[in-house]
Amino acid sequence: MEQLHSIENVPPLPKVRRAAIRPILKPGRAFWPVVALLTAIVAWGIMAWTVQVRQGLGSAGYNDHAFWAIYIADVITFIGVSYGGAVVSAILRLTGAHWRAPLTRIAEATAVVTVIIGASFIIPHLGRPERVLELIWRPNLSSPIFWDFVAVSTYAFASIVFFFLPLMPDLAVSNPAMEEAGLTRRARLFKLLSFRWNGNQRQHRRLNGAIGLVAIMIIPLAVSVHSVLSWAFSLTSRPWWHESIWAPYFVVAALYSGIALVILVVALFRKVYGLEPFISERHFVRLGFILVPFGAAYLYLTLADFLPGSYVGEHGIAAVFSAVITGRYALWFWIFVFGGCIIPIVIMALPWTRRLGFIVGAAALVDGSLWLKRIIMVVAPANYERVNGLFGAYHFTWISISVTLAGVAAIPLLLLLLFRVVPILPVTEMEEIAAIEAGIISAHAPVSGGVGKTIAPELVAPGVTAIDTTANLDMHTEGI
Amino acid sequence: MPALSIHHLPRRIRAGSSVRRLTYRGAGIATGGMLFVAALLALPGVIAPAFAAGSTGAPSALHVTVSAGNSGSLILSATDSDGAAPTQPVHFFVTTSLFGGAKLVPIGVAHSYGGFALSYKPTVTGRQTFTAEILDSSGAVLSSGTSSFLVTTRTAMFSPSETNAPKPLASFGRGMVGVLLAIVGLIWLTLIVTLVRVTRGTARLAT
Amino acid sequence: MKPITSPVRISRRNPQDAPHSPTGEIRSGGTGADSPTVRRGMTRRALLGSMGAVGASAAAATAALDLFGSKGAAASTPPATSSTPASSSTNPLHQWAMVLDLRNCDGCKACTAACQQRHELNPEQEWIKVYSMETAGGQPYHMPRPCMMCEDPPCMYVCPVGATFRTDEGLVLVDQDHCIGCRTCMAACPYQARYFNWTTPKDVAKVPGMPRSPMFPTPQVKDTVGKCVWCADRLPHGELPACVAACPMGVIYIGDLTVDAATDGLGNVVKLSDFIRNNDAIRFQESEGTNPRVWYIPGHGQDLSNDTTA
Repeated sequence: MEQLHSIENVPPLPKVRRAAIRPILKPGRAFWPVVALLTAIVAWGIMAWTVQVRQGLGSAGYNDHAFWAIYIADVITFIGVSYGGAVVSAILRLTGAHWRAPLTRIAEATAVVTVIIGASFIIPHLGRPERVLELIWRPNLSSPIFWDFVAVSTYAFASIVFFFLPLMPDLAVSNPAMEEAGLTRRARLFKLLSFRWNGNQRQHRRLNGAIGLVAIMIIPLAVSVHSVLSWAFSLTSRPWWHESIWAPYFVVAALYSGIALVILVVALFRKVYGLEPFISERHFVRLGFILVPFGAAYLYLTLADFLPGSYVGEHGIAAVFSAVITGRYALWFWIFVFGGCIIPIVIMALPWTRRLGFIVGAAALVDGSLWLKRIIMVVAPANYERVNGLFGAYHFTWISISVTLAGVAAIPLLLLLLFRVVPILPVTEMEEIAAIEAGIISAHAPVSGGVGKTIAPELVAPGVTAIDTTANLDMHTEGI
Repeated sequence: MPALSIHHLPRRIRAGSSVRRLTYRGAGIATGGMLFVAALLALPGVIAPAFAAGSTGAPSALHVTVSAGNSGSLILSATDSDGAAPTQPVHFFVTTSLFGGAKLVPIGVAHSYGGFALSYKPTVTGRQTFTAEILDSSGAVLSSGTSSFLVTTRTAMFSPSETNAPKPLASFGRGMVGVLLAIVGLIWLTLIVTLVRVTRGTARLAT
Repeated sequence: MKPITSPVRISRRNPQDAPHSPTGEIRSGGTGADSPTVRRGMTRRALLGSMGAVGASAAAATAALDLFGSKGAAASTPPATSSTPASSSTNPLHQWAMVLDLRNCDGCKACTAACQQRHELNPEQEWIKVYSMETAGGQPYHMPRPCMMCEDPPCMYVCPVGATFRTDEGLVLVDQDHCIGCRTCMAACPYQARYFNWTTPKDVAKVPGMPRSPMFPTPQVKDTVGKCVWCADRLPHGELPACVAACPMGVIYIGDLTVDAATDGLGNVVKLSDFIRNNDAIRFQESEGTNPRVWYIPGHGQDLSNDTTA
């Protein structure tokens, strides 16, 4: 089979290329049953939502003392986890961490999928979703909700661009395999979206520059999204919402839960698509190590949040904090503290728990606990009755649970479907990094998307057209 | 002395949108017309000392006199029907139709040490009816009298609250909106240009 | 407990203490030296009269262009339902206000019932809600809470589609035909004065000639927010809001800051500025900076200046 160079003179890695398109060619026996199951969960959630539309938001457990609850927490959670993709991909790319290479496609795809799911959770959150476009044609620019809308849509667009750009050359090199396999529609799509990529230096230089630019842009964009989301709360005078710490809170929580979700998604696809040769346990250890400082930072912010209000004891804030720390929400709050922060940190701290199973468990704990924390952050101040200081209550209903589970199921579902269309591994990026580590192209050449001067890879050893792929894979999975 | 000068009006109107601006402009003209009529009505008041006064006391025990005072105030005073000073404090009221029908709003009590006169700043322009009453200890009316007066100058009993401290960023909120929208627009533009540049560039550089 | 809001604050609010210019203007420190309130008021009033049948949608469709929601940015004109003749010098701009004399309130909730009956509300929608409270000394008292009709309404600033607007007469109203049901206004209101239609509202027999409008929001609209409107449809006709008319104790006074008069449902009429000042009336949660148009006459030593706690 003729091997196209993804980048001029960079030797192809046939194993990587095969693994990247395996889900497209031959998804496996369990694929369609799993897709059907997930689709059923999503469809059930949508059905529950139609019931909610008919009966009113009260059917999701809402009331005047719980006017915001599960859906806005879901919005924050899903848009929050999408930050993980941005970090793994953009930050590690900009810092030139080679080990990131096999993870970036999955991470970026997760970011795109979760931001879309998160944004669509605005729909069940609204009482009159059919009027949502009034945000565009009669906006009130002093409303934080309007800016939420602006920030989320901008970030979603940037995520899609950031997902698409590194994909272009991969589509080009995967196209022959599609034609060979007789997948003509995909071949046509790949051809269309790869824009006649042939890997020459000028194309590569231009693409690298663009990826670098968007990688830089997406970091402040993500910070702005999570800040603006938090300001929907802290721009009201409600106790505990009206806190300056909320914006950094949301940003750190997003990073923390986002990396945890990348761990979960990578573990899932590594398992089901047999990516073990490319993604080793050490990848998970590294991601776990990134998790630790964010977990510690979030715990620290929580302390910094609770201390001043608890110490001074103003009416409203004292009532809410008492309810959270020792009162009606205390059980959930302490589950978050231990499950969401302390246990994951301990798992990464102890050498004998620093293993794949434990790390995946820790990541699952983090995402679950942070959802719980967001529920508390939304519900406790909403429950607080500001005139007489009493608390209302919020109860989940089958509708709100079904809709939320539909969002959760939509993540693997959309990713499974997405990787039926696009290569799951970033072929070009992996080949380029392998070539750099093998000394075939100059180490000074920045990896794709690197900051500063973007130099096309220089040919170090002319004439080398194929390299020992296994050696290179070892190098970039075990290196650094 | 007309209460308002017309040429000041349009400048005070802060419009938030073109729709509202247009409406305000139309309204300004209408307002101007009405105020012109009001000013004409007030002319006798300008020519005569300060206010057009008319005392039409209905037959009653008290005779109410209304005259113009300083700074847009009125001097209300009451005498017995024979012109002598009352012997007890006099309660003054102004009639309002604000709550449907004629209701008396208490505006003050005049005592002997004030010469049974009350200074009052009217809040409503137009013909106003003032009532004076002398009450006994149980609140029953012993004697009363009314008088009407064409008021051309009113004193607002209302001013919008000033917050204790104005919002710190309030002064550049409008500019900020423009800046933020410009930044957002720039981000979208950059992303779209990047996308177009890369895709078209890739196709062009393929050879 | 904090001391009752400083009387200085009250007296400063009292127009009689404000500096008067010879033409009878009161200059407001916040609005600049060239902005005599009287004149602006006259203009707006005249405007109201001349606007004729401008509908709610047209008036409320104007978005605030101010990021921080400074005063007046999103003020809008109400739909004119007034049948009173076009503005003239005898028909001044109203600035509606309420005074609640808590000394007389016995907590009978006749106000709530009258409101719910008039607006055909579900039982949990207590647009005027009577709270049972306790003073610091443990003495119980009752506190009806209508919409505070803030001069700086946080609910209006946060509404993403401008469905909440403030009329030139100082009424904060909701256009339920544009509300998207995001409930940010409920989060922003410091007084818990907003009530959402979580389920299908009461089935209401349409009253001929009285279509739903922001001033008479009946029937309510499912999955949108509603709140007390001070019976804005009645005020222009000289009629009293349902709660005022229904209160057997004469607790609730509706009044006009411009005309400087207020009345309760028993026929008592007071000079509003004197009534507020002479009774040490205070505003609820003054610290929120929302400048409510509702004054309370405590009489039980209550602290209404801040969030209370049970």
